[in-house]
Amino acid sequence: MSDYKDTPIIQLAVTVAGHLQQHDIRVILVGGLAVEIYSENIYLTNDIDLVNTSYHPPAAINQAMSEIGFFKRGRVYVNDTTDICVEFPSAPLSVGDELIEETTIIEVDAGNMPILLARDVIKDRLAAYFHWNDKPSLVQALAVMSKHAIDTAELQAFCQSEGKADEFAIIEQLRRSLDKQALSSMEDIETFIIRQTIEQL
Amino acid sequence: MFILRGILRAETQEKILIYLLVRGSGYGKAIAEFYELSPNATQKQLARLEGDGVVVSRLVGKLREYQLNPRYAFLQPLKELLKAALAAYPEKVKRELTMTRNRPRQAGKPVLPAR
Repeated sequence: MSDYKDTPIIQLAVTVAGHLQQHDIRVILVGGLAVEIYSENIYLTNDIDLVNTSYHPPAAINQAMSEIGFFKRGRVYVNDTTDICVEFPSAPLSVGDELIEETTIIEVDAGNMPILLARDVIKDRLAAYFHWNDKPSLVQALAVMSKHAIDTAELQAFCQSEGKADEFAIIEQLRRSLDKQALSSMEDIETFIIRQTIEQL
Repeated sequence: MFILRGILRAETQEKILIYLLVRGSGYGKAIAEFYELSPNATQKQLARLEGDGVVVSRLVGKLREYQLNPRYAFLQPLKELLKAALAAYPEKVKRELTMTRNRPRQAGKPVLPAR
């Protein structure tokens, strides 16, 4: 019986990805855990989202996951010893209208993790903010931006392609303000965004 | 907590208006649950505000969604007043009003408290 009670989430993600790789199932980490890694633990999550880029059928994933003690419940894979769940959002990898063709592998304490590039994690969170007015996603994007640069021209082009050209200046201003204030916790960034949101009502 | 006592008729009205100001729109049940208000009292005040032209509503399926009336003659000064009242609200309430998750989450994916 696989016991993950004391397994940190990043270690678990590395374990799952590594095990799937042994079955030739290639996965890329996306979503909240990618934010957690790139924000250097400013943001914390309980979900592992992995996109299967080798297009293996669900049965193959079910089999491989069951070998490490994860079983499907609805759309997610769970294990009784942990609250952490694993999900496989549909391929292909994309953010907004753009297909993602470049990913990377980062080295974490637990091993190597295939993952989106930081700039695509930023874009993914900004897309959620643009299209759902999801403020937590804006906070997460800024948290990642506080640790990883994104080319200004690329950011502007992305805002334009999402139909939010007017948001670029706002996001740049937020980023500069956060840098100036050297805000380093999720709570600080949230407080800052809350203040800005209320001022602009 | 009733910041605009003396200007508004009821505390519930203030809470409704601040909710709609920050979130843009809302359903009566959601507003009542957010503030732990009586659903009946909330619906009553929403009806009054709508009757007075301060809010408008539309049916979304079987539910009635409310928003501040964009045609309300005194919308801008009302917003400024509500913003001033909101500034006096506890940080926790401001955070919960503002930092709501709106992006979709897969059906069946458990919602767990943040680590």
